[in-house]
Amino acid sequence: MRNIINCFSLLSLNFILISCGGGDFTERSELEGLRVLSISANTPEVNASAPSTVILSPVISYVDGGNTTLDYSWEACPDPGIDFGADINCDSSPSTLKQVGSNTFSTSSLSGSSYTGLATSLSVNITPAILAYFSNLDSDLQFNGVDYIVVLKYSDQNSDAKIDALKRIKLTSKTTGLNVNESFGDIIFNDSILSAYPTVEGIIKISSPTPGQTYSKQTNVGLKSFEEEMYISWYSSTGEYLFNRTDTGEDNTFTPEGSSGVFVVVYRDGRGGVFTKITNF
Amino acid sequence: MRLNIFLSLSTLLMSTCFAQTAIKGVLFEKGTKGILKETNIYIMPYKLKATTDSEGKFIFPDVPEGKFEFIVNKSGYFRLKLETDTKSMNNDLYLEKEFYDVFETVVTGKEIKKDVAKKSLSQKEFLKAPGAQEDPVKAVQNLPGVANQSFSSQIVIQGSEPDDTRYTINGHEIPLIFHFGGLTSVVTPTAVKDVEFLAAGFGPEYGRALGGIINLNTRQARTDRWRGEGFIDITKLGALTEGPISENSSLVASARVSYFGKIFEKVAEEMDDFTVTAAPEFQDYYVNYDYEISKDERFSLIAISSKDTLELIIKEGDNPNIEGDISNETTFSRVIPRYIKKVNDKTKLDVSMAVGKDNLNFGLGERFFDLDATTVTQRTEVEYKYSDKLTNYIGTDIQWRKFNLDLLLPNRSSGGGVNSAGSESTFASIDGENTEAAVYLRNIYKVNDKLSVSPNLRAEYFSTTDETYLMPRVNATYSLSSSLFLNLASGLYYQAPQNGENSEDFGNPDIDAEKSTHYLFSVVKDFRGGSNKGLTIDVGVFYKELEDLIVSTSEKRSDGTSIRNDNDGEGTVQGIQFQGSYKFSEYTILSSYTYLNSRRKDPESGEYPSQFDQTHNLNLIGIYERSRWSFSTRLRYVSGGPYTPIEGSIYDGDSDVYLPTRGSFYSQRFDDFFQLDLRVDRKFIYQTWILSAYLDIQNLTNANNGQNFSYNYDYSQKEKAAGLPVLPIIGLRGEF
Repeated sequence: MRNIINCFSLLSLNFILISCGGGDFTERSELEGLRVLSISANTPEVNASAPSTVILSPVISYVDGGNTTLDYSWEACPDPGIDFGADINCDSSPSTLKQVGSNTFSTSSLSGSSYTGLATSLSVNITPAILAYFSNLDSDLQFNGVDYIVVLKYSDQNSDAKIDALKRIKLTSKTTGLNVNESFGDIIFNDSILSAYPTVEGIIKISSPTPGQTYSKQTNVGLKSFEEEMYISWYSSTGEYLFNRTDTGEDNTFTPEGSSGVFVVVYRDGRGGVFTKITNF
Repeated sequence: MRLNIFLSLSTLLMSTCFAQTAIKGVLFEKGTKGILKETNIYIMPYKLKATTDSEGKFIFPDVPEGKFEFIVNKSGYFRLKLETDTKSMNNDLYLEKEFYDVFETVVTGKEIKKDVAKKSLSQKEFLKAPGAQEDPVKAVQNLPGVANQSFSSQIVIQGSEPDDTRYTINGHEIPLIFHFGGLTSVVTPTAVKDVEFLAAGFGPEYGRALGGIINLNTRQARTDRWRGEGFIDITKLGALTEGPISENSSLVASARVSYFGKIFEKVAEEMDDFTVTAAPEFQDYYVNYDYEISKDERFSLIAISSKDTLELIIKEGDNPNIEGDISNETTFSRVIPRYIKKVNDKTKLDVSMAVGKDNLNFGLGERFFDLDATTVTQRTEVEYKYSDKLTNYIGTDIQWRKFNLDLLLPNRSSGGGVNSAGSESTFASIDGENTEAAVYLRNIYKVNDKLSVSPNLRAEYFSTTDETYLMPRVNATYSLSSSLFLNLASGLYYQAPQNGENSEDFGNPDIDAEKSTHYLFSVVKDFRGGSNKGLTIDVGVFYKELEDLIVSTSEKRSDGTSIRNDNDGEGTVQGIQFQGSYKFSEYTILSSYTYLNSRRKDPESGEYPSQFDQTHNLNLIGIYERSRWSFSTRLRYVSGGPYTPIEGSIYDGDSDVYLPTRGSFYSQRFDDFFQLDLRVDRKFIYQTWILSAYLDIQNLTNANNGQNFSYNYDYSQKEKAAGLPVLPIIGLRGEF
């Protein structure tokens, strides 16, 4: 255990030291270039007892890329072991468990020089072969959930811009208490629904967020309950947030710049549940 | 009758004119109040002489009344010439030493050492080492074979991993050697007698470490009188006291507390990224009671305790896994009874054990790591001098630990030194215990006047792998002359899985111990010819073969469970090390240099340099001492350490982080490290106490030696993390 102790004592100090750098970096809340902001699944957690289809809805933002065509491709397969250092792709997956697709997407569907909105949704099939693979896995693993990953790649036909993204579909033997996408009501700016681009600095938050779920996992001491930790990611094409990310119930501050912009707020449970709201002024 | 009256009057007159007084006093060493015995004292102009007794007392029974001069001449001390008169009530004398705490050169030769792989620094040496802030373990970084690591809580030895170094106090393992990422070591430096550094080829007394050992030997109290000291620098303050309790027992006690947290709080107020809720603080305590049972029998009881605490709130970042409240409390304590007995002229017994608790509570948001462990270690050594040629040492080195561990931590991949947290966290609650029990045999056989061979063996059982390992080790010294030695050391070393590497819940229960074979050949030459001035050099080559290294793997079992790690890693370390010292008049030059080539290989990542493969590591130290002043400087040059380039990233839509795409492991290097340190010491000697002040300026040229990068949220931007800026440290020590 000695090195774990050393490790943690160092971690605290290192964080502080590393925090001293990086002041000139682009803020993650500042929309710039081609980005994927969220990927929601209609069923983030799927009971793997029968074939089904999961619909994925990516939200992308492409500042100054509002009138172009994006190539996109995707591949899906069982998690190759990403948490333990495996490359994030499906190269080693048996073909029977793998799905691929590709197409193009035009960003001219929204008027303007930039595009921030939904991209073409994807349908991922949970096939009998995947279910057979799943049924041979360790029972605790089946209960806790096995990741079926989807890797998306977007690239602009007219520039070097590209972005890769990962989404996990959780396959489980659970029949109840499956993970869902939480949601919230509106974006609130200075205690009112955000209905126009702000002209002054103010407090920004969300209204009526649905609380996180309680979920259970098999652990080495048996079944144990956990609470989802909800958090909000803030994005805008203009202006500046005080925080890029806040917890539920925590206020943020927005300082406007100019008179127009796009606000994107993503509400997450950290387990695959995602809700996104886009407001364009 | 008339004559008698005349004689009486004469005597009266004489006694009035030449009245005589007895002058008594004690002769002390100035500043330390140390008693100076068997020293001649003269009274002039009467040419009277007295010699101090065993308590430093002197007496002149018949000194003519009036003014006179004390004269004391003693080797190693300034001449004392003190004018006084017989009316003076206090005639205690204080003799000022020419040198206090002389910085001595490292003695590398002179005699055949028990362990040729061991180097040590005495208290005098480490207290004045430039750049070390009087810290014994930091001073070790001036020795060859020790990697340069800024802000590190660990010592990396000869291209091994940090986990491959073991830390002990008087031979008993402790979980932590430094407070707060390398700020200072966990024992008051002046309570430490010496620090030992054991590297490639170390002997059978130690094990469980592929790299080496850092051992702090604490010291007994001084028994001549009660004394004390107080010290303060920019981060901490403390005190030490010691003295005799009775004729045959003594005590030394010290305590230190930090106050740099208050400074840290002020600094943190200027930073947007985090808020400090409880300032970082540490404290440590040390007590050593020593009892001399008889001339041949000794008992000591040492208690040591250390505590570090920190709490802060990280407001936001690029990764939700490192947001929220950070709290970290690390404590450990040890009670170490020890019994030493000289059984007879041939046999000596040394038995000790350490009982203690280790607690680590780390919280980060909802995630946590809580460890509560009870540790018992035991060492026994019997030395038997079979003949003038053969001495045997047989001993045990046992460690037992019972622990409870609760954790909820994200699954995490750190291949190539690039961390990326997964979306899932693992919870585990583990009650366990493990035992590592070794017996060892060292035989020192003096074949003749020139050759000494030491065939040794260590056998050790690791309960974590349920295996017993035999570790033959050999040590040999050949003396080509009285000042030229050839040393050879080799041995086999095993290290049990650690940090839960073999845990069923977050490791792999099927993994085995890691293995290493060491080879060392060195030449030691002492050119000083019996004086303490001149040149000494120690040049060595070492080679280590590493097998069955535990490496992470992304492979899975047929039931889909992750294997997590296996024994498929291997590696080699080869190097050349040089240590030299040259002393002339008031100057001393010390140098150490290491050339290193440390490689690793595993099936998933191929062959790559070790993270701590620092090709060239040069330390040059210059010291100038004159009177009460001491000036020292250290120049460090180290090749830039290797790092793994990040070639891109993939956005993780579930955890809202970007997962870095690693390039070839450790295929690029940071800029070379260059640092110049300067230290000035000044002693102020007062009658009954000494004030020592030092100014230690680190990184005098303000070179940016950052050996890390900061990345933006998607790894598309990076900048060199700030290294240590120019940092002046002032320290004061008062001794009485």
